[in-house]
Amino acid sequence: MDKKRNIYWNGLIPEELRDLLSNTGSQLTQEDTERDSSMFKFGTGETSNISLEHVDWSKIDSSPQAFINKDLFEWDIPKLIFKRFFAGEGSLGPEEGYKSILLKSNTLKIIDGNAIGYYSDIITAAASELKINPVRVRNFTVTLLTYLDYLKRSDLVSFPIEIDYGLSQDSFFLQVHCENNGVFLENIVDSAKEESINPFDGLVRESLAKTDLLELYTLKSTNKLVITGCWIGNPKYIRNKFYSSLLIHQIDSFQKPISSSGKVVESQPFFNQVLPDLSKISIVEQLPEKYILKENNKQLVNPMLVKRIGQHILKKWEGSNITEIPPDYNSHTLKKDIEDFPGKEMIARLNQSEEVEILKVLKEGLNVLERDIEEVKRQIKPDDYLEGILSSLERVRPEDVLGVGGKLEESQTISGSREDLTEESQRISGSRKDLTEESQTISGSREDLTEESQRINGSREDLTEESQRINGSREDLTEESQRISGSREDLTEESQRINGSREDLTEESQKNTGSSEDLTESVQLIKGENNKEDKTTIKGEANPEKQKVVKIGGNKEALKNEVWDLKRLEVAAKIKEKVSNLQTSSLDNVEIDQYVKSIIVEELGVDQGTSEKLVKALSDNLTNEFVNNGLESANENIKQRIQIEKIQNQLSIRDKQVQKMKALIEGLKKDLAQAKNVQEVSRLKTVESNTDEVEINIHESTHSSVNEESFEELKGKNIEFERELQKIKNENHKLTTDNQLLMRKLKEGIDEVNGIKDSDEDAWVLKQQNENLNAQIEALKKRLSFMYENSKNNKEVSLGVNEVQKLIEDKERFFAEKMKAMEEITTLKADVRERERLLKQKDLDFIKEVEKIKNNPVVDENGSMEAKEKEKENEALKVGLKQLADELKATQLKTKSYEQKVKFLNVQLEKFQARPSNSDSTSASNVDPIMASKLKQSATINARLKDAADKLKNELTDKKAELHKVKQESRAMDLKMKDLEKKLATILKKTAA
Amino acid sequence: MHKQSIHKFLEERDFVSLLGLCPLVPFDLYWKKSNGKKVLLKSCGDFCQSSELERWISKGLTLESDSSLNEVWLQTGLTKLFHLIEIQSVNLVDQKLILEWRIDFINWLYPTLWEEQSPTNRLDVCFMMGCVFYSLNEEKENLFLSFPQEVQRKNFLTASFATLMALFLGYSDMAFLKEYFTILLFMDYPLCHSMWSESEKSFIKKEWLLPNVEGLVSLDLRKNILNNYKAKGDQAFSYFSKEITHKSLLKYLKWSFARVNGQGTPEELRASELSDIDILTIFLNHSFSYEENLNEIPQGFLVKRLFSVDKDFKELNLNTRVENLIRVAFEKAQELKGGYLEIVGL
Repeated sequence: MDKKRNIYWNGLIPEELRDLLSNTGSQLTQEDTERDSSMFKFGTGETSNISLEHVDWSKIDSSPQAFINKDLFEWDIPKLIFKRFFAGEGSLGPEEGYKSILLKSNTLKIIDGNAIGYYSDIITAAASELKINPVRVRNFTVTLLTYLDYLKRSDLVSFPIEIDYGLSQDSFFLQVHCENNGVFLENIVDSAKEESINPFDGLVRESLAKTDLLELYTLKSTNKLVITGCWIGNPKYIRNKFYSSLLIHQIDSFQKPISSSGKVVESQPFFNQVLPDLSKISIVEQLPEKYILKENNKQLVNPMLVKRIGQHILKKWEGSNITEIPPDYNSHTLKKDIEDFPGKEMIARLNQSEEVEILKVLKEGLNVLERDIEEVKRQIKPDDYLEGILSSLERVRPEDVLGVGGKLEESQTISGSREDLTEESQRISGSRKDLTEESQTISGSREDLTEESQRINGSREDLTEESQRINGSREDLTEESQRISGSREDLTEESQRINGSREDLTEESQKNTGSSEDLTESVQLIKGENNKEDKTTIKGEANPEKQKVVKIGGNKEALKNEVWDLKRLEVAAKIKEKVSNLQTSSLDNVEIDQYVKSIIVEELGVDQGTSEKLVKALSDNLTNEFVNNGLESANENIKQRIQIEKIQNQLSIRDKQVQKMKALIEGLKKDLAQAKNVQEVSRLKTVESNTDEVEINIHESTHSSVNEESFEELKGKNIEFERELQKIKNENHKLTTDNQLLMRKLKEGIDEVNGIKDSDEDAWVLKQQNENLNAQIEALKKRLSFMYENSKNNKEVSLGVNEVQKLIEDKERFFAEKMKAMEEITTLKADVRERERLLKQKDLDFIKEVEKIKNNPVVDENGSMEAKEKEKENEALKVGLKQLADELKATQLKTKSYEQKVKFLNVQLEKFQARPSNSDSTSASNVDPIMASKLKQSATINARLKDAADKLKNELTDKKAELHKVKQESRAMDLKMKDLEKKLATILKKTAA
Repeated sequence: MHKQSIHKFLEERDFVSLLGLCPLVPFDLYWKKSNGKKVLLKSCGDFCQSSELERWISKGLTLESDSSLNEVWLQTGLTKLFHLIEIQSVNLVDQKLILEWRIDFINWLYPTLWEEQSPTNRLDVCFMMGCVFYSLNEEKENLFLSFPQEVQRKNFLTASFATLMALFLGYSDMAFLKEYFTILLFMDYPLCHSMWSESEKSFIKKEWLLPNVEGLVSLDLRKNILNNYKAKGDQAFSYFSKEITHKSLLKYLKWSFARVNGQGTPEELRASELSDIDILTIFLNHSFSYEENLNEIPQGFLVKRLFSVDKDFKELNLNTRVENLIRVAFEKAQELKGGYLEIVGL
């Protein structure tokens, strides 16, 4: 339940109620504001019999209803029931709230509906301890439980029912609750109405009659339906009025389409039908489509148009002395009456809802409509309002202007007008500087007298306008063109006007004629010319279409036109001056009207009344434009949508047809197949059986003929079906393409409505930026909400607009910084690349120069001498190196040979040593001397060889060392060479430079 | 088969014959072989499928029990419950008889469940309730027995105690109670799906213990798990919705994590908006843990012990009204006349 509520109390507010409400946070009012859907309506019911028809059932879903006998507030249990209700906290366990007062309380559980009588007796017995009429209690219980059992059989409610009842000192209560599967308000309403056929209807009504207070509500969180009844047992409570009190809240209605204004959709078929059997109710989860379509496809009404047509017709009737709308007046007769309305295109485009509104106006008068129009005017922004007035100034006919106040016809004024030209030019220039919008359009054309002269003469468009006006033909497309031009350039903000003007010339004719009517009604003088119009003329050349439409008529009364233009200029300029002076303060449309009136009075010398009329006509004009521009696009959208829905329906129908055809074809195919089989079987039989060929032949022929016929028929049918299928498919295809086209048109229409012309690039850019910012905001919001969800502890995260803005600013800042950094990086990269390139070039140059130096003869003498010496030394060293290397190799070979010899000798020695050991025992004396000598010889040879080898080794090492040294020296010499070469190069450069 | 087994039990106190009624095996079941050796088929606290039992019986195995049940108590309890079934088996039920029966039943149970006077333990209670209210068909029994054992035990405990206490509260329709029992056997159906990993299972059990414990797992994971759990609960809902006639019972299948103070998920319920049996279900769902051993808890005080929990637990799971109702039912059983319960609030 909601906690804070506004309670509307109808009648005297009892003191007890105030006490009750003091702690609960609910407020009492005595105003019945229909709009506040959260309001409760309580009434004290002064009638003798309350009936459930007093209940505004349509509103219970959104706001509870109660009809309370104020005497009830004295007693304890009703007080608690109300307290629980007002405070918004309900407990199914009454003992918690009623602790202090209950003397006794019990609970019962009922699981099926078979023992209702027994339990109701128990309850009655408990209630009879107080002086309460037991019949009332018993009847209440029985009817209520029967009703619940009845609901259970339709599965709207589940048992077990839980019953709590209790006694206090003065009163007795009974609370019943059970699981709610699908009880809606409508079920209770049906049971509450008086006229019903079904004997089970009316149970709630009877229950109401038997108790002193009935409370009905549902709990949505746990799906419970709760019904409470209360009886007062104190003898002081006298039921004078024989009605009970009723409190209903929080029961859903399954007619959900409550529109945004809080009003329930008007058509409620449920209430008008007589339900035969509750058990056959199917609960509608969704709205049937037609209700949605009705809501969304309602066409929009232009109140100005309605007003004008209404006035037109009323005038007519005044003329023919009709005071009231005739009883059989319908849209048909309306159309006849309108036939002479100037502005036939307007009438042709009247839609149904507008006709309805017109009929309303004719019945009821213009007052309500005036209110609507005032509201619409309020919606127009002051800037646009001002511009609208100025633009509609131009459309006043000079006839009317010049008819009153003959001063203008004097030629003096014409001459004066020339002088005024300069003034005007000045004025124009002056005024244009003030307002930025205008500055855009004016591009250097100020100082061209020629153009101004055009203005004086009236631009082509001006002339034609007036010429045609003089001719008296009202249905001028030229006027439209001007309006188009006038209106277009006035505003960069209001896309509506621009769009409206662009698309339909016919519309504008309607606007025109309507406005001209306004102005004829009030004879006015208007002077001056609309500066903006000038701009528009300059710019208006952009629209060739309109120019084509322009008829250039004769310049019969060019003079008059001139005067007219001048005066208009003056007035308009003055208005703008005043406005610009006051632009610091916020302008109200009403204030603008005041200023315009005063200026008109000054300039044209007319009285207040006429100026008022003029101003009113001007403002009506601009509201008409304003509304039309908005409505047209919306109406078109709606029409397109309706078309699309129709086509979709058709498509679905076609699809169904196609499916049916397919099914038929399949059936036929099966038959064909069967026929074929039968045919084959019969042929086989004929082949097999040879007895009676004639018969068989006949059989075959007839059978085959039959088969063939049927086969052919089937074929033919098949072909036909296929053809039809193809047709349907083609149509299907066409419908889909049409559908697509319409969708595209819809999108285009929507785009046009939303978009702004390319010529106004600034606005487009602004819009883009706006969209970007919006997208950023949304992204940030999403991020923040995600973060919020994740962090449980941040209970107070509330995204204010400021924070979001900060985030956006931060983002922008970071973005800017990022851009800067990117730029820096690119520049750095470029630098790096350049440097690398330079380096490479330098390397190449160096190499080239080095080569040059090497190849070319050395110029400098000193350097050349040194170089030559160095070269000689180098060569000598190299030669030395080679010699040493050769010697090395030679010595190595020698050592190798010596080593081999040594090995060979060693082997021999071993052999010799071995022999004497073996042959020692036999003949040692004879052999000894020879062997001994030989041994000695070999030993000495060995020793010499070793010495030689040692010497050679030493020589080797020495040579190696020498080699090493020489190599080092050669390296050093190379380095020196290089240094000298570099020096050479520098010296060469110096000499060259 | 049931009536025969009941008669057999009543005459011969042969518990084995009752096994056909209840899958819970409250004793050690042995197969006595011809050579005298005893083979342990099922130990105490296991669950046995009826098909298995039939197979053994058809093979002619002699089954013996080594029971520690309180036979007398069981016998009287079962007779009383069967009497209730008889009362309700006629077309026009005499409500007075039911109410008298209720008083009688509560009085008889008072010593064991509210005081420590006779040696019964939870096994007895479960077996008794199972024999009377267990009514799963084969398909559902297979599903139930496919749960892990700990889940089976917990759910069986919950179901039996809940039905028992619903009797005290005043719900006395046998068909209703049988369906209630059935539904509560499957309260942990979502947990037993094979999709959960071990860590997720442990999270679920912790969530079941204490709701919304912060820091246990990341919020996304928690949401994920709870959503999956809810989806499985919905599956169970639709699975049972065709067969259960009392549609208000089906919502318990989704209430594994429900609490009475609004902290539960996915349903945020408040005690003030729930009926008595709802609160009872939530309370008992959380009174038994997954590690319960049916035997271990000492005997007596069975129901009173359930209420002697700490304040936080009570705040989460129990309403004073329900507690008081049951207390009053027990304490004033002898005084109760007319058989209806008094709400204590004074």
